[in-house]
Amino acid sequence: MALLTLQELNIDFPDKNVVRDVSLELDHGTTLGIIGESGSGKSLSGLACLGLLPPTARASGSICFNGEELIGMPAARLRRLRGCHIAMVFQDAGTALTPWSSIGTQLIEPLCDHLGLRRSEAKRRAVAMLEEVRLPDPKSALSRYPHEFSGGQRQRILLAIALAAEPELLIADEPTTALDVTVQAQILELLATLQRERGLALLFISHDLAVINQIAEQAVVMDAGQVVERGSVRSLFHTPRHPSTRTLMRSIADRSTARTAQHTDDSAHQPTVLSVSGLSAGYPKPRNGKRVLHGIDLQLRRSEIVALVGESGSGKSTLARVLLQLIPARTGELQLLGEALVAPHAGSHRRQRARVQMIFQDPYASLNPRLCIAETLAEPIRFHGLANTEKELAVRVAELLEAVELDPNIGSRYPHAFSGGQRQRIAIARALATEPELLIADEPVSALDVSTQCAILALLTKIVHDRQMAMLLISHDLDMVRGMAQRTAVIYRGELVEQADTRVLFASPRHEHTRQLLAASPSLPAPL
Amino acid sequence: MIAFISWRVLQAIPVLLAVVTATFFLVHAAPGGPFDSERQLSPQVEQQLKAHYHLDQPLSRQYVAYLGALLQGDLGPSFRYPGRRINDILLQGLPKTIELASYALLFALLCGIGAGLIAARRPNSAQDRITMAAAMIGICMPSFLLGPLLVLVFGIYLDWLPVTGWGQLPGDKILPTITLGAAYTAYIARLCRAGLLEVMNADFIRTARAKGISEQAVLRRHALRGALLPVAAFLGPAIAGLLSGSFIVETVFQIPGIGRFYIQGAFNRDYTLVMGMTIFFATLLVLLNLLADILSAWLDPRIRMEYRQ
Amino acid sequence: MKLCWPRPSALWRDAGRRFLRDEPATYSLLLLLAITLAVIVGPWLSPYGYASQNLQIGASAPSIAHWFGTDPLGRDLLTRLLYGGRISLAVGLLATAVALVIGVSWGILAAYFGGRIDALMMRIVDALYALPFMVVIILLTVSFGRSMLLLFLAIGCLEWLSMARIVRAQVLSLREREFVQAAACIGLGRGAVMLRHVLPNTLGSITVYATLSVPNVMLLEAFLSFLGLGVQAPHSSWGVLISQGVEYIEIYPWLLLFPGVTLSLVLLALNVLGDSLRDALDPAHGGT
Repeated sequence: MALLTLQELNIDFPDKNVVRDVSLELDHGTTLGIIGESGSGKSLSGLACLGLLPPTARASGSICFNGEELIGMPAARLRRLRGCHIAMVFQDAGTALTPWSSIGTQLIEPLCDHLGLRRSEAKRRAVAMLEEVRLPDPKSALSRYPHEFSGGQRQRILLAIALAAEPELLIADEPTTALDVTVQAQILELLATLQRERGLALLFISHDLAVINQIAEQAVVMDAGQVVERGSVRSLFHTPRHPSTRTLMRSIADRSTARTAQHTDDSAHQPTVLSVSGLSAGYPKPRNGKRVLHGIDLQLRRSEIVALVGESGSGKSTLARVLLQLIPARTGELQLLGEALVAPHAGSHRRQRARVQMIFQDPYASLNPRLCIAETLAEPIRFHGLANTEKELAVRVAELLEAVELDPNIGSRYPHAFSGGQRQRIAIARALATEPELLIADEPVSALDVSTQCAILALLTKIVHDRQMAMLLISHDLDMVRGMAQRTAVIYRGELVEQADTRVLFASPRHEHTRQLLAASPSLPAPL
Repeated sequence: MIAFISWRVLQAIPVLLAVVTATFFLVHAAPGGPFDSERQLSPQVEQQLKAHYHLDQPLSRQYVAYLGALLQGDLGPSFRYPGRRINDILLQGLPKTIELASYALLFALLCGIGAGLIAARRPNSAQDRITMAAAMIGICMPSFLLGPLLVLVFGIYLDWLPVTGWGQLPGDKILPTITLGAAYTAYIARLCRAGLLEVMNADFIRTARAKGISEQAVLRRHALRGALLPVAAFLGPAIAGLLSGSFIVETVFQIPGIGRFYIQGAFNRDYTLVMGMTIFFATLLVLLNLLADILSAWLDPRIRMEYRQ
Repeated sequence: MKLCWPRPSALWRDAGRRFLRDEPATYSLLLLLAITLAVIVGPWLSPYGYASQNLQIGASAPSIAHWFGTDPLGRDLLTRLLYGGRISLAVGLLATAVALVIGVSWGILAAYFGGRIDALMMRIVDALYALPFMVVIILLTVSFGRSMLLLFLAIGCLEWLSMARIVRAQVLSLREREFVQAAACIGLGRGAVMLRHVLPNTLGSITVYATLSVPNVMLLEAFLSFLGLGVQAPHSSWGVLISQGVEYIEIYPWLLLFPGVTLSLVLLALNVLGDSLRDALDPAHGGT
């Protein structure tokens, strides 16, 4: 008999149905992936298995765990199941631990409550748990607080808490999404080990097929509240049957296929747009003998996309801010089309600012909510005197909207009326308004769903090529970089440790850190 | 924690010095001397008085002398109560004021936190709406209105409780405590409710529930501090308000605390009294704020880290 | 397409719609408007002067001639209440305005300059916060005598502290938002970024705070007047009237009842209004 059986599970909010007729089975000691975009109902299905739905949601149908029906089960019995038999870890390890309790308290709590252990016994068990999730120095960790740990360490602690009472089933909801690739790889490996050693059943929820491929053989695909397809991850990827699976898989595959191949050859003859040499930036006095950035050499040619890859804290964003002249360089030279760039304070340098523009990660925060779209786009045009009359201005705004494939008549509307993808297009239009020579895109699609990601990436590629601009694409997502960039530069602790043609770099990485990144990056299913 | 406390104590010193200096010069910059009142004094008498209180010396000398005395805990003589020191007047009234403010604070904390938690347990239910409506009325009912109304109902019509004094008749502390504490009860109830509601939506509450511990334990071990943090942050302003509020309550219930002396001092233009008491109040408040900050830091380990930046 | 300062945006329109759906808030607004109108027009329509005494009738209960009764000097309570309302409301609004001007500019300047200047400015606010409010005002009245102008200024000057903190915190958090950085990328100067992108987005919380600070200030004025340190005879304010009412509480209860109820109602309406505005402008309630 299966450990967990969902039959025709429906989850309804007062105004709408979010999960419809979901059925799935999970056996002892096996792993099942659930893949779906945001809003597909995958997280709510997971929460329903613990009876943790928000109070306004109502579940109907059947969730059967070890022969017991969970829907309609008395709260006390359900709680006992949650503590001892079913556990869950969540996405954001930063906020998932109670900030004012020590790790020990939070870890010991379920042990004392459910297993009736005495404190000293529970403490021993807690230390053993922390050792098992490979947290450094587990003994002293007990008396420390969540904010003293890094994101990856917190995720380990959460795993320890979840597994402390030795549950049979673990539900993991995007447990690695907020982490760096190398940390993600470690956590996935840890999960796989724990699963194997303890004979856990694992329900792994993610939007990322590559991550699921890393940990599960079998998966279901959810779309708009329904399970549309199930099967092995490989067959789901290579031979999808349901139309929405097909669309999803094509988007995923598209991200990493070389969309830039056709432009690669001619960019070598193009003039250099940006030339950076010996650049350092950061604190006025080097801390621990280091600045945030040092010894950066980088060239970008016209019509070229160069990716800048690195983990959080490696100095990617600082470099972007230096190129945008928002913070000064300490040493080194910055040239844009042969002219030196100086951090502008006086008006004479305004024009220089216009030549480098930025696209930000979060489309929801990158538009001023109090300005209508036309106003947002008109501001840079007017500021740089790129239109002489109001009429000309209106024409240019309409052109910009057309360039990002939006209806030119939406100018009078406000940002909150648009979806994430549309907002990102508007943000791109704003960046284009000053006719820059260099675009910096900082994780431009990581906040978007896969299908939207592809459209935005295609648009960016097209714009760079059509307008003969250079683009610096900052990302941690190697898969996406492989599809987008002609050249890739790897930044590690403030230094560019390697830069090469993307294909060369992926095929034969030279620097140790590049190799680590590539090894850690989850890969798509191998061909059948 | 010790580093945090010493850092906050060091911060308090310049504040206190600034308060003393500002008070001193403000009072001395005031137009008119302490002795020009209804009764005209002859120039000789006035001269003698000034010499007696060292008012004939340059301001800087007076300031240094005042600071020096202050460091030894001496607030100087009163102009209006000849022969009495400000210290004595303070000592006489202080116990009553402190007691009144403490009772009111205790009342406000107990009832406020209780009401806030009850309301937040079932948002938008009848118990929530009634509690919050009561809290809103509590905020809009000034103590100088509530006090007399309570006197009228419980003291005069029902004749259950005495209406004046402090510690002379049994039960005479009840009405002043309620009068002073009511508005703060209401504020604390609202803060506590909002804090708890916010915390209950946090991710870590979901983690706690996923552990399968009882709803009681989730509330007590994980959520409660979130509800208490805004209350702890409000303690500083609340204590300041309670001390100021005690002026009113002492007037309404005729309690001889320092508030009444202070008001009288203000009417009589008794400069040293007003100056001394201002400095005393400020010091008290700075110290209590310090305690409130330490309480916040104890409740939330993140605050302990923040000061290092 | 009009390209100048932003018009009241859809956010405000949505906020307005949410606000109007909130019945208590709508009634509060109507009540406030009615009382404001009565206070402005009332004293002119009244057949009695606010200080004109009629010792023959003395204190009389509410009647057709004197709707709210008279005080022991035979002065019409309704007229005095309306007249006092002018002063109470004026103190509330003017002192809030003073607080608004000082607080907003202080908060913005601190956030704008940042670094040491910011630290110094905020330490000053912290230090002033630690002072007992009432004590300082009493100190000021002792030093400079009791005058209404001083009262406005003193209350306003002390009420700005929270405003400064709120505005600074808002500006600092907005400055980290991407759209503000985007404006800087365009080349706009810091001042222009501030004016066009940061300030308009703080208006919501400023409005809410200003609304909630009017009742605070009115309470403070009543408090001081009750102690005899605020508005002085022959002028009156609601605090003065309540203080007189308390004296005669046992024999002429209407003297406390009417001013007390009026003041409480106005405070209630302002607080309900402020709370509702906060909810309406909160983006978590929709909009973004």
